[in-house]
Amino acid sequence: MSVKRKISVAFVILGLILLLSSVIAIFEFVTMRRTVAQFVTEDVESINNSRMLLEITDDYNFRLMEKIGDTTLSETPVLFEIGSDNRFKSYMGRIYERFTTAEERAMADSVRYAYIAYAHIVGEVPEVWKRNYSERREWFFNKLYPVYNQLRSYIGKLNALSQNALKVSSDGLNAAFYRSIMPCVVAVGIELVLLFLFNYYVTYYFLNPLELITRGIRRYRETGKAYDVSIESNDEMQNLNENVKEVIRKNKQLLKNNLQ
Amino acid sequence: MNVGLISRNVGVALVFNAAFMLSGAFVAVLNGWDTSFFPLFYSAIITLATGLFPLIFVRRGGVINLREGYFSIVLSWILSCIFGMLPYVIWGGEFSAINAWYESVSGYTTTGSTILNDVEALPKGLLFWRTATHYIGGLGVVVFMILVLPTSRNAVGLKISKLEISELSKANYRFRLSKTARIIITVYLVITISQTVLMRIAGMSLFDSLNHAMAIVSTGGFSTKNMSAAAFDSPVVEVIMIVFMFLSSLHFGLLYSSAKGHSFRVFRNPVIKFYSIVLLAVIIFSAGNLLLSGNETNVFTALRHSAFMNISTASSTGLAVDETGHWPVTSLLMLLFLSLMGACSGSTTGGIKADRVCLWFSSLRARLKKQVNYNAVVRTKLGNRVIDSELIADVNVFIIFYLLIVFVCAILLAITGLSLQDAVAASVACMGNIGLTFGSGGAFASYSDLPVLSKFICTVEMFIGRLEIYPFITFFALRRWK
Repeated sequence: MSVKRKISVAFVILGLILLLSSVIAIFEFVTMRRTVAQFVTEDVESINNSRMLLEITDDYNFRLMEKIGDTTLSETPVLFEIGSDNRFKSYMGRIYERFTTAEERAMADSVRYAYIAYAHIVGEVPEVWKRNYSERREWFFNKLYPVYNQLRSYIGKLNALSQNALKVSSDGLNAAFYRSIMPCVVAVGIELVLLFLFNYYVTYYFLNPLELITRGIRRYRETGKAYDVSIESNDEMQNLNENVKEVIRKNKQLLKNNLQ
Repeated sequence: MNVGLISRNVGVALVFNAAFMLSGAFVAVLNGWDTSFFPLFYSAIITLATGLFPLIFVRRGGVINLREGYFSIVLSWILSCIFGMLPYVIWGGEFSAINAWYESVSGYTTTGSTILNDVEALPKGLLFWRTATHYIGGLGVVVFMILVLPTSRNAVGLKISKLEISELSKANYRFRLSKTARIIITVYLVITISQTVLMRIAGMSLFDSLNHAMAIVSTGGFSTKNMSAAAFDSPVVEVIMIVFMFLSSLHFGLLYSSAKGHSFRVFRNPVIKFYSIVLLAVIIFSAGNLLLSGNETNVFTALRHSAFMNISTASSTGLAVDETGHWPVTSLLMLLFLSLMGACSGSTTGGIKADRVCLWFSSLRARLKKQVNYNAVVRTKLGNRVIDSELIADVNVFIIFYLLIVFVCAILLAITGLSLQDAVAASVACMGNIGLTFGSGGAFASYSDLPVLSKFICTVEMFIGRLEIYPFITFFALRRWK
């Protein structure tokens, strides 16, 4: 193989490894981006939706509790009509759009049914307000509060499932990151080793012979000593050496003829 | 030192490894492009590119001296293990860096101990690669280097070959070095193919048959199942495995000669006779022990399990069909003895080797005779061959050195946090390249729970055991060479 071809093939190999690692890095980056967008973002949104559901129910319940304690009120408190309040429905709808696991769907159904039960009991407020304080209080703590607690519990569990799904996605992302970076790390490591080897080979097989030839020519030129460099690489270096030997031989012959 | 020549030889070894990685990638394709395709294919490209690189610049030819030969061998082993871990590292799962290194070294040194808690979770391509590392390691990188080192002088090549083929076995290889390599390869392939066919007929899938055949002929022991050979629950399969584990533990040269001469000449060899008798005695005694202790109730099952576990241990294969955790202590001690003794040299097994143990007993007998009759001239004989005192001294030194290393490594493992039983069991298993452990976890346990440092110590011990101590030490003393 000629010197030119050896160096070309070496560069092709080095380039191939770099290209391969770059392609893999880009591919893995795109895959990870999709994973982040698809799973992690959805999980975070599910957690936010669950949190909003909890806030809405807590807010309504605490305001109702506050009104129950207000003995000056004789008319039904003007709170939002829970049946026509769209906030809860809106967030429930968003949760239903973003399921990542089957357990989340099942728990969302539980939340929805618990909410329906809660709303049904809240529908008794106009009737309850006609009763006295003690009866209102009893209704609130014995009838509404357990259902409210149940609803709250389901929302909490739904939130926990969303957080778990986020953890799983994060772990998957971690593993994917590790897998995506390993080929690149390996390729770069091997590339460094090959570059070192390349440097050694170029020095040993090309530059050293050139130096030997140069030294041999200088020695002949300065001292007249015989040119005794031997190169057996079967490539251009060997050809160069043979040609130099031939030139020196002819030069010697010419000098000899001139002297004569 | 001729760096170019060394790098060329190492390059050839890496190219060979890359070929097997591509085979694994092909298996992944056949399995419906499973998740191991990319790691294996990518690793193959990287390994191939790295292996071919020196071949571009360094011409074939050039005379290799002993020092360069040693360097080539050990460097080939180390680099094969490093590149061999690439598919594991890239695939991920349970394979952290140290776990991948451990699995790779365990494969190439044909130890067969694993860090995996769930082997069956691996895709088929990766399972095949695991077994392939056994196959490559069993043959030894040097066999292939001998084939591609035509200009190494035979004396040098023979000395290099000692790294792979135990020194004792060269006496039975009355062939030229290249023919020796061809014999080993031939026997290797014949055993692999015949065992695959028989196990396939016995009901195993082709994939399982081929993998177990490769694991047994190389006396490695990586199984495709979590429960090792017990997963197949087939007496026929177990008997086939027993037969082939036994054959794989014999001297390949003698097997070849016997097969070629259509005779049972192999059993006339004194070492093989000694090995066979010891095995038989241990199997019968152990089976009786299992029956008496109540571990087994059926005589044939007891014999079968005893034969399997004892031959698996002696041959350093490491496959298991029974949980040794509940075996009686005497049977466990016999397993320990066999794991130290090992099988015959000239095979792919580990341990001290039955040849050395047989020689030791012969020299002990001669010594006792001399003790009785002080003036008598007593020679140590092995069969009809008189053994010179220098060889006996070498054997004694080797045995003591071997046990010393086992002891020292057990101490080091204990320092890292292992219990006494686990430290000794792991040290013996790694040094003998057996894999099967008699630790508290039992025969089917993995090494996943070991601390990182313990795993590293085990891998060093596996190397020392595989290279039979001296070449490993010689490599590190190379700087003192002139």
